[in-house]
Amino acid sequence: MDTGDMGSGDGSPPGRREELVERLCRAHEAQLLLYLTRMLGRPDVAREVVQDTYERIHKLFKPEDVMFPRAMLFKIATNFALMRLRRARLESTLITGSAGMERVPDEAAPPDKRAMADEINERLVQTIQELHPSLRTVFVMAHVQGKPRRDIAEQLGISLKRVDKRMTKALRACRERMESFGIDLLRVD
Amino acid sequence: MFARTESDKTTRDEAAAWATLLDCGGMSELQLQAFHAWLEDPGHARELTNHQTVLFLAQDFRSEQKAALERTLADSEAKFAALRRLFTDPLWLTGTVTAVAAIVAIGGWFASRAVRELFTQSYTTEIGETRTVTLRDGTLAYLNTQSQLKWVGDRHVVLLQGEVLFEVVHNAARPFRVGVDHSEIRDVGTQFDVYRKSSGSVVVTVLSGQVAVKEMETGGAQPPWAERQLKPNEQIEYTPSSLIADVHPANASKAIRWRDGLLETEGQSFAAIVNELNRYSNKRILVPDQRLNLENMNIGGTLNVHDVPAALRRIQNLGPIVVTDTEDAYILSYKAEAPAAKQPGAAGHP
Repeated sequence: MDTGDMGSGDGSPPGRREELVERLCRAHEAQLLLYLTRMLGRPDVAREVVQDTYERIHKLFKPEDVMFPRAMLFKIATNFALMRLRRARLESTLITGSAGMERVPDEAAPPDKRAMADEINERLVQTIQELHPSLRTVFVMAHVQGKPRRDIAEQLGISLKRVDKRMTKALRACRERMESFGIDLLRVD
Repeated sequence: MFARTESDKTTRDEAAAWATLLDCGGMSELQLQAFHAWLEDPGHARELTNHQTVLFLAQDFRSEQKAALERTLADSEAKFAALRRLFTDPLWLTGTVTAVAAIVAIGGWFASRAVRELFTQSYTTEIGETRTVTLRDGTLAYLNTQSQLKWVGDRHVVLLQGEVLFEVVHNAARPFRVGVDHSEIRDVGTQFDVYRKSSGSVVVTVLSGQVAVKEMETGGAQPPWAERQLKPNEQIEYTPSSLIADVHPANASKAIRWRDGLLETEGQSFAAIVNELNRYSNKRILVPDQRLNLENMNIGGTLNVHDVPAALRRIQNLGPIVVTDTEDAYILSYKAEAPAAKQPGAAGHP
């Protein structure tokens, strides 16, 4: 089956794929916009980046090749935002060394994506479990439960500054540990 | 391993800090400018993406992974709460700061579980409580109700009371050892449950990997029994008087249903079920009539051990049994012979 203009060329029916893309984008729109606004400091530019991201995903999204759709969405958006920032600085449309952005979903992607995703997920869970308890608590509250840091500070009876410090430390430790497992985070999506 | 330069480290520290700040929101105009300037370096941008990927993944966990992580939280939170309670105690607020108060405070510090555990390396649970402890070598220990576990060093723990499920971090060079009275369970990287019953009997159940169970030389009349090897889904039970049953197959996942707060009743005698429920109950559950204890009642299914009154109500509904909720005990008796019964927990169980 040829899906031609969508450039997917994969086996999934186009209607189903479109629906998945639509659902993915709608589900995270507000959060994505908030994230990009924070990163770029300008809501109007953030909105444009959201548009760029959606276009890119509509073109390239192959459900069976993506391990973490939400992570992929945010990563593509991050890369577009970084491009924007660089462009604004250089006042040029030249894109230098975009971090993974140009990587078209690999045609010869390993068939065992699901197993790989599970492995990566399990490794991260393990990594978090092995964090020092004070770091783990903050990390789980902030990123697994999605609690605002004010609530975390209050609940733990520590200052906001300390919460930030612990969040930073925990994140840094997780990144390091994931690398030690041989997981290339840049390629995870 | 490859050498990492100082600047790599700095980049990572900075990337982690920026990713955190970004996640929290509310950057000032100045911070934003600094952030954008920092991002100009492609290496910085890459590191930021690496750190953010961790966060993106964390937000995408499956529900059972979330639950597993939140369980560790309940544990740490309890510790923090204990510490906080200490400081907000009225004694602290109103009492004058005297030497006496200081001594009381130090006493309080030791009384707080978190601090006590720091010094003694001994972990406990109360009635009905379960908790997860990460031991010094990274091994996870899930403590069931009324349990006590002590780390005595060099991957060696002692189970003093109750039941613990271990998820052992692999290290072939240094096996992980659990001492229970005069026996020792030794293993390299696996999952197994050790239950020291109040009678002193010990039940070991293996979920994965392999463990060896042996009795230590006690200097008594009997020589110690020979070492036994257990494979996954095998169980062994032995008594303090050196009676040991054969290694037998067991449904290991059923044996650790307590982690979900459930008690599997199928195939268990009435007395065994009551015994198990008693581990989780603040109020004693008594069966004065021995005939009832001997009865092999088929209650079937699972009971929620964290809600003993509800569990008893279920037993009452399933068998010819009446539960009487008195001041200091639940009394189980035959239906026809029961005194004017009150439903357990019906009148505002705490």
